[in-house]
Amino acid sequence: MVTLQSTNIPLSVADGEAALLKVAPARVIDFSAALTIARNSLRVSLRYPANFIIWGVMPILWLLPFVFTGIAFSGGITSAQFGGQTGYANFIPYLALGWVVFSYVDSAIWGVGNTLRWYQFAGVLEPMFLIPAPRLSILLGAAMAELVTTSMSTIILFGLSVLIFNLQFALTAVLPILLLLFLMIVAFTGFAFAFSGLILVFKDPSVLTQFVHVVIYTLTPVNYSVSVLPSWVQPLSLILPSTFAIIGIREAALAAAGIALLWGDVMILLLLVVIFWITGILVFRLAEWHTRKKGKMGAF
Amino acid sequence: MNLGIKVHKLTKTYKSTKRKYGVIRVSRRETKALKGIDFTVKRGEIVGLLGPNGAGKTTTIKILSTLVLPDSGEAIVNGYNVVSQPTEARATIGVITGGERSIYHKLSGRENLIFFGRLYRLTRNEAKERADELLGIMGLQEKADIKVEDYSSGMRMKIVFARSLIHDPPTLLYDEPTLGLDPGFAREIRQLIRDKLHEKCILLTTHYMNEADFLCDRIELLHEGQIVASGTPTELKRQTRAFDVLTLQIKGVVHAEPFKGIPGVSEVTVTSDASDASAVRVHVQNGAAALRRLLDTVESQGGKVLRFAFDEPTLDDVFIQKTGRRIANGDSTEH
Ligand SMILES: Nc1ncnc2c1ncn2[C@@H]1O[C@H](COP(=O)(O)OP(=O)(O)OP(=O)(O)O)[C@@H](O)[C@H]1O
Ligand SMILES: [Mg+2]
Repeated sequence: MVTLQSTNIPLSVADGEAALLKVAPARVIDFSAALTIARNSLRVSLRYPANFIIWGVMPILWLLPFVFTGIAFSGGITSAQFGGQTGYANFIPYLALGWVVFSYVDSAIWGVGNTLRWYQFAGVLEPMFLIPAPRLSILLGAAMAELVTTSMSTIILFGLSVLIFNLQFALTAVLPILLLLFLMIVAFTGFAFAFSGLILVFKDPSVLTQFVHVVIYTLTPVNYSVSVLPSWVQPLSLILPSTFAIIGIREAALAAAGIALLWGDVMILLLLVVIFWITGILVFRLAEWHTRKKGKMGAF
Repeated sequence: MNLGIKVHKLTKTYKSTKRKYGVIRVSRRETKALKGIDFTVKRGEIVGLLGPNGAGKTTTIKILSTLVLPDSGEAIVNGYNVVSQPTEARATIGVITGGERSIYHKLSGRENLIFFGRLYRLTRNEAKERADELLGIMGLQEKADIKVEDYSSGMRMKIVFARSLIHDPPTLLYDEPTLGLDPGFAREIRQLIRDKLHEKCILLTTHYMNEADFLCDRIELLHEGQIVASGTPTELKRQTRAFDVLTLQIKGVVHAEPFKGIPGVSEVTVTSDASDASAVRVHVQNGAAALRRLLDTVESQGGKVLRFAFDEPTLDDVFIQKTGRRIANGDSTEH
């Protein structure tokens, strides 16, 4: 046996059969590795407590200016004009929900890529890419950690909005909301894979990230309905998971639409999940291949 | 049975494109980093990959550890092809590249080891036990629970070492494992490799000739992407016995050129420092016969010989003989 000194741990290398391989390695994603990475990421981010708190209250600060703008334009907290376009005259819960959902979009666009970038700077990207798991597992781990931190800040956002603006939501809406939110997050995780691929290749895509962020933000009905967009732009809005998630979640929370009514949104989101994941996985693999060819894996 | 490393006709050419504003192509450059190398490392063997800057050492290590894709040829690690079975291959290797930065500075040494242990598929208890054992071997029990950012760089390097061993891999790939370490710690690491890891299969690169001499069972001399010589350190050095190695300590500054005119002299290296002293190192067919001419050459340049000695050839001498170049620039002899 090849052992260091005293290990009681049996090394699973027996005559040419390599270690680990008591369990065949995952082909596409290793979920248990992803979980380990997510837990570790959270542990590390807890060690920057100041950041943690600031990120927690950030979303509410993004929301408030729009609320104030709305009040400034309408002179109150409702607007008939706004109601005519969106179906919801009271724009505050409309905006609050929009921002809750968009926080997840935000974290999908920035989060996973930023984690990868941080690995590059910290010097741990190569060791992470040396673990015996497909490299997508690392991205999934980062996405899971992001999900937790983002959920914490959206819970703060949601809670504060309810308190400050005295909002009321249909309690029955919880399940459909979670379902729609979950599907959207999963879809955007596929998107994050593709994006991380670009980061591997281009190293510093902050301009690109910024651009994609602004485009998605503009197209998604966060602060206004899709109908106010120029008609030739509207179809673009309808390929975004965030559009369907936000519309569906508002219907569930504000118009008490049951799951039966939301079925269409759910199906579209499912379809987008499949499309985004396939694209994301392919793009990331291509980028990984390209980076290995170039020999620029750990470079930044 | 399959344990070990097999490299066959491995080639790698880096193509880089320089672009203006990120889009407009300005120039294209190709670097032939590996031009078809062959070697094997068997279980229980420590093989040193030696060569000057840019020889292709890191490229070889990175191909074997699946971080870089080769163009052609084959690289097999413990029975796994690094191109077609990268995940499996990674499970069987412990790698050091990039030095002390490559661990989480916000985690303690122990947390780092357990984390990576888990990623190498140890159970939580196995990972803990293993981390404990390695921390013990590294003499880091006291500091095990302090964040790595508060470690000295030697201590960080120990954690990096420990990490490469966390899953007890049969094969270790170490790229300049002692780079930048203080001599005492470098010695500790070398002892560790020699005493504790002799059953593994180890491929390492280094710029320190004495380290290679001390550690390696075999040496592969790499030059511009090709292996120019291989063998045990003793074998290689014996090959240079065709000539003597002489060093002359001189007061005054001399030039290399005049020495090259002396019959039998093949290589001359002159090093000098600011304090008006220089050292000349020559390869000469028959040292005793050429000595008179050597001394005269020094004097004719206004220098004064303080001391002279017949040296044992070093691996660097072997390299110089094969390629006409030195491997290391002056720091090769300090360890
Ligand atoms: N990612 C890359 N892109 C382009 N060229 C590269 C890349 N990596 C290495 N090279 C080139 O390939 C050649 C071999 O490099 P390599 O890093 O393998 O050398 P080395 O033997 O490790 O050198 P050193 O002793 O300096 O570490 C060099 O000419 C180097 O400039
Ligand atoms: Mg190198």
